[in-house]
Amino acid sequence: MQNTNEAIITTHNLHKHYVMGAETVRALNGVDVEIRRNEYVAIMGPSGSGKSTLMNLIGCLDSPTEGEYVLNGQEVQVLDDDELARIRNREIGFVFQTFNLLPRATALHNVELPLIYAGVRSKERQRRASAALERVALGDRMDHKPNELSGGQRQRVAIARALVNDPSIVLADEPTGNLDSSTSEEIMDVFESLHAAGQTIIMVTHEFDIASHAQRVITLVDGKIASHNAEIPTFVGAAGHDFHIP
Amino acid sequence: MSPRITGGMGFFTTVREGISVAFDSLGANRVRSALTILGVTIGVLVVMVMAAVITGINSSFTEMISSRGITTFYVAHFDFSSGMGVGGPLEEEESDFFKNDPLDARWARDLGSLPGIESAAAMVDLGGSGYEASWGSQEVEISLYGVSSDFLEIDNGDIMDGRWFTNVEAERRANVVVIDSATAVDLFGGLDPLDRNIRITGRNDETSLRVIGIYRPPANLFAGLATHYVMAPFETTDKNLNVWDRSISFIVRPEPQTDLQDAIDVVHARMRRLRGLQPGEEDDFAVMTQDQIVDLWGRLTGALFAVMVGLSSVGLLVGGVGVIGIMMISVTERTREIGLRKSMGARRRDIMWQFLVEAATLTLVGGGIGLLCGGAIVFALEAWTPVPATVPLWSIVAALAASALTGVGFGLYPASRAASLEPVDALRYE
Repeated sequence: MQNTNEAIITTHNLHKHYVMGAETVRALNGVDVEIRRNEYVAIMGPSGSGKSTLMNLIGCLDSPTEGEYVLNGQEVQVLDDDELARIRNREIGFVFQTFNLLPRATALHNVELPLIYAGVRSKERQRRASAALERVALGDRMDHKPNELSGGQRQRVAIARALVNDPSIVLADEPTGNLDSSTSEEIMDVFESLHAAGQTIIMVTHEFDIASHAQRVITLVDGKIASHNAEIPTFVGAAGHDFHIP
Repeated sequence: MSPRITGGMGFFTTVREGISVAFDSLGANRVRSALTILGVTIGVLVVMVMAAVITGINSSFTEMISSRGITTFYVAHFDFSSGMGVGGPLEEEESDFFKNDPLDARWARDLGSLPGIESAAAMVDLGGSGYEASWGSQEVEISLYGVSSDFLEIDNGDIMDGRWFTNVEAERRANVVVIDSATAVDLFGGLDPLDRNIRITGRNDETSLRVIGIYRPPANLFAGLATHYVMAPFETTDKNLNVWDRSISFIVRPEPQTDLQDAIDVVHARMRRLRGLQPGEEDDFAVMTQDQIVDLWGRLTGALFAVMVGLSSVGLLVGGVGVIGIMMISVTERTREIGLRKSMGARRRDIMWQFLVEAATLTLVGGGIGLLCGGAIVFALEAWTPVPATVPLWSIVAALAASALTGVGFGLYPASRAASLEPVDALRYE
């Protein structure tokens, strides 16, 4: 079986610069990260720290200006558009703050979406999509459209969609940002059970109590890694930034 | 990487996804979609109805021509099969129409007696001059022909009641006339028209003629289109009315066993002699077969059809511009959705396909509505008017193909805009 200590994500000297008019914004300024299989990692940092940029690079939604990124043994920065699409399809399951469900499609169809782009046949798609919905306890809501579901249920549909292609990593960007605290807990429980089942999870958040669910917290400040394994109570004080602590 | 899945999204899945997304957005923006596809609908409708009418008229025309017998041919003082007189330089003094001497109606008998020729008739069409027939207070517009006595035999028409005029009556310029049943009903109602005198009135002339027979034109769809045929002996019209001798022509029917070309050669030689032409001199008359006339007809309707296609492509163009507009709006509105699809693994070409299929679905629905409306109009024309119309299969295929192509063609730009969106920017779009 796979070695749980094997690195699934390795970045080396990752840079991302944006040219805005005359100015160059260095959103990421030499980031080295290693994330191992079956880790549950939170990435924290104040706004403008580059955590969203890092998230986009890890998710292959964007390519680095400089540096290397190896995902599951594959060097990513050399890939072309179609290959990146394939990586996003097979290796990464996205969970967004705003759920990003197709409003006119049923829960089942929403979950099928990555399988459609993977070229999976209709019968098999339905089977796997319903299995993924069962996993997040929405087996009885498959034919509901997003506006017929609560916020927590919508995010669970999104999680099912992230899981359906059996990705190497689940990448969650502020997954509880649009949810109240009790629903947030419900979603965190889902993530924890996924992690317990062996899923690698990377989560971007600025919320202390959300990050506390992770095994390890990586903090970013000004486009650089501030800590690879921040102690949550200490880093809040040490970093001296204003995190939202409920 | 997981090796169990190979290949990207299948073609049919793409099309099915695209179509279902297209119907979703069609349903969500009904008014907008309806306006967009209106141009395409009108374009398709016009092509469809015109194609049906032209096809219908064409087949009736061919039927009418051949009802006079396949080998029947025509002689005139100019070549009307070249298109002259119907868009040609009729007005120009140097055209054959004016340059050549008119034919002499008496030559018809001469041509009819040639070896291999069954009969020949002179015919002069006075219909263009606005003649009316009246009886008492009843008046009706008519198509007036002066014909020689052999005409009926060549024309294949019938006499339903009474009789056709005789050779002797023609020579004596008797004031007799044969009318069709439509004229009979309009003038006399239920009365027996035979032996009653009707008044024929033109712009500058008039005469009184006695009805001796009721004529039924040979069966073809034009019989319903052009009614109120009135025929008198050529000699009678020549005596009593202002016959424009440049409209005289001959209809010649060869004997069944005669080869058409032989018959034409014989008539051609005799015409040269009648015209007094020396060897080497150019013909100042023309012999025209039905093929040539059908060809001319084909060219005329072809030109008409080209105009139609031009007009309807304007409709499609307008529809196409609408498609660009609505698709650009759609792409903008759904930027986040595009970002989402890309983050779920959609490649550029998947997004491209999705929007192309959506655009084509939009215009196909427009085209389909156009086809249905056009079909209804054609059906109505068939049922309630004498206009013959049949929908040719190719026009359905062409209309649908044209509307789908419009969608794809004009959807190309918005679709490529959508496909080239960067996933990270698209996802962040508010």
